[in-house]
Amino acid sequence: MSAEIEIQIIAVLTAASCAIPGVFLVLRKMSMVSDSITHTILLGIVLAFFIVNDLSSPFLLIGAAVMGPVTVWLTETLTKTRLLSEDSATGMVFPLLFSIAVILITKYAGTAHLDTDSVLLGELAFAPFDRLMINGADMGAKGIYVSGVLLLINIVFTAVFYKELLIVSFDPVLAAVMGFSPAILHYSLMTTASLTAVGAFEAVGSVLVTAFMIAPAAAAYLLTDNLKKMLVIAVGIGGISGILGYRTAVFFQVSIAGSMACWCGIFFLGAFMYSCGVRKINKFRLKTKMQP
Amino acid sequence: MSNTENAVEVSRLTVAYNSKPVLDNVDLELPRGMLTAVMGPNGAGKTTLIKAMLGLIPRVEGQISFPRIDGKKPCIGYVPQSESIDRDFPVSVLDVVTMGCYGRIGWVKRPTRDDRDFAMAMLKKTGMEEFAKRQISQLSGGQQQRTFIARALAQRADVYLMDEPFKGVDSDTEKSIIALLKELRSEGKTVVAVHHDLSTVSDYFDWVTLINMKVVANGEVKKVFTDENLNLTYRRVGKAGAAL
Ligand SMILES: Nc1ncnc2c1ncn2[C@@H]1O[C@H](COP(=O)(O)OP(=O)(O)OP(=O)(O)O)[C@@H](O)[C@H]1O
Ligand SMILES: [Mg+2]
Repeated sequence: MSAEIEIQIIAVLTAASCAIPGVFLVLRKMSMVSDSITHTILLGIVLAFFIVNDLSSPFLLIGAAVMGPVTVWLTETLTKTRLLSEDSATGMVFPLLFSIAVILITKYAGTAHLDTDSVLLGELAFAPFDRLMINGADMGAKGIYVSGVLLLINIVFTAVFYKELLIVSFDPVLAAVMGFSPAILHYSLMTTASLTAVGAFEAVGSVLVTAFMIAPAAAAYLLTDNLKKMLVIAVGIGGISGILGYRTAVFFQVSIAGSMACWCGIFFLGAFMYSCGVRKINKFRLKTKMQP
Repeated sequence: MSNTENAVEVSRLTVAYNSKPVLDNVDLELPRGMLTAVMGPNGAGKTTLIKAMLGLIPRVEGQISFPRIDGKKPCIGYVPQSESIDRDFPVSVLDVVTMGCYGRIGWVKRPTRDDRDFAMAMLKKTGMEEFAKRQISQLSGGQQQRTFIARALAQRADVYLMDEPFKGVDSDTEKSIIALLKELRSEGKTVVAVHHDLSTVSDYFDWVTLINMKVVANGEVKKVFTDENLNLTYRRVGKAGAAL
C-alpha cells in the first residue's frame, strides 16, 4: 500500500470516529468539553509515561482515557459549588491540567520523543513510517489499526447503547427514573470521547481534534432532524473532509490536519447557509400562503 | 405507618440547596387512585418535591416510599416541566412517545414494532397521531404537552408525577388532558400534578397538597381547599380570602 493511500485511510477513519462522540457532545451542548478533554488527556499520557517509561505502551491510552472523565468531573464539581459558571469552571480546569502537562513534558521528557509540537499539531504525514510489525512482517501503518479500532469502538458503543444515549441526552430525568443512570452513560461517553481524542491526536494533534468532533456534528445538526441521519451525515462529512483535506494539503503543500479541519469548517458553513436558506424559503412560502 | 392505600409516603423530608432549606421537614401521604394537585407559590419547592420523590436530588434527611401494589413495586411515570426540554433535539414525536416504553424494554434491547405501535396508539389517545413524524420543535406548546402526556401513558405507570402539565395549554387541550387523567384514575392509577390555577382545582382534583417550604395542608379538596389555608400558603396579607 502506498504511503499516500495509508495517510488517506487514517485521515478518513480518524475524522469519522471523531464525528460520532461529537454528535452527542453537540446535542448535549457540551462542545467545549471536547476542547477541554483533548488538552487534558495530555496530562494523562504524560503521567502514564512517567509510570511505565515507554512511549508505545497501551497504558498511555488508559491514562488518557481516565483523564478525560476526571476533567469533566472536576469541572462539574466546581460548577456545582455555584461559585463559578460552567464556562469559567471549564476555563479554570483545562488550562491548569494542560499547563501541568506541558511543564512536565518540557522539564522531564525532553529526551523521550514526547515533544510539544507533535502533541499539539500531530503529523499525519509521518504516520506511514510507524509500521505495525508482527513476527517481522509488515502489516501496514500502525495508525490505520489505531484509527480503525477507534472507529469500531465508537460504532459499537453507539449502536449498542443508542437507545440509552438518546434518552439520556434528550431527557436525563426520565432516563434516571427508568433506571438508565445518566452518570454512568455520561462518563462512558466521556471515556469513549477521550479514547477517540487520544487516537486522533496522534494523527492530527490535540488542537484540531475539537474541529473534527464538533464541526461535522454541528453541520449535520443543521441538515437533519433525525438523530440516526445526523450520525450518518456527521461521519460522512468527517470522512470526506479527511480525503479532501489530504488532497488540498498535497496540492498547496500545507499541513494535512489543518486543511482537513478547514474542510470540516467549509462543510459547516455550507450547512449553515443551506439551513438559513431553507428557513427563508419556508418563511416566504408561509407569507405567500397567508396572503389571500 | 405504611398504608397500602397510599401511593406515595414522604416522611421528614428536608431538602436544601447550598444549605438553604427549600423543603423543611415535609410529611406527606398521597392516596392511591386519586388525582392530587400540588400547589404553592413560585419557588415554594413543588418541582423540588417532585424531583425528590423521583430520587433525583440529594436529601438532607427523610424518606420517600412508594408502597407496593399487589406485592409489586409500582412503576413511576413522569412528565417534565416543559421548559426543561430541548425542543431542537433531533427526535420526532413518535420517537419521544416510544421513549415511554424504554423502561420496560431495559438496557441494550431495542424497541420493537409492538412498542412503536403502542406509542402510536397513545398518540391517537391524545389526538396527536397526525403529528407522529414531526420533529418536536414544529409543535405548538399545547401539542408538545400532549406529546409528553402520551409518553407518560406509554410508560404504563402506576403513579404519575407531572410538573405543571397544563402550562401553556389552551382550555380545550386542558380539558382533554384532564379527561385522560380521569381515565387513568378510573383504571386505579395515581396522578400527582403540580397545578397553578386555583379556579379549576375543585373540578379537576380529588386531593390537594398545599406547600410552601413546609406542608400547609394535605387532604381532600373539599376539606382543605379553604381560604384560610390558601392565605397561609400564598402568604397573603389583608383580609382573608380577599385575593381569591
Ligand atoms: N438547582 C438549584 N440550586 C439552588 N437552588 C435551587 C435549585 N433549584 C431550585 N432552587 C431554589 O429552590 C426553591 C424551590 O424551587 P422549585 O423549583 O422547587 O420551586 P417551584 O415551586 O417548582 O416553583 P415554580 O412554581 O416557579 O416552578 C427556589 O427558591 C429556587 O430558587
Ligand atoms: Mg416548578
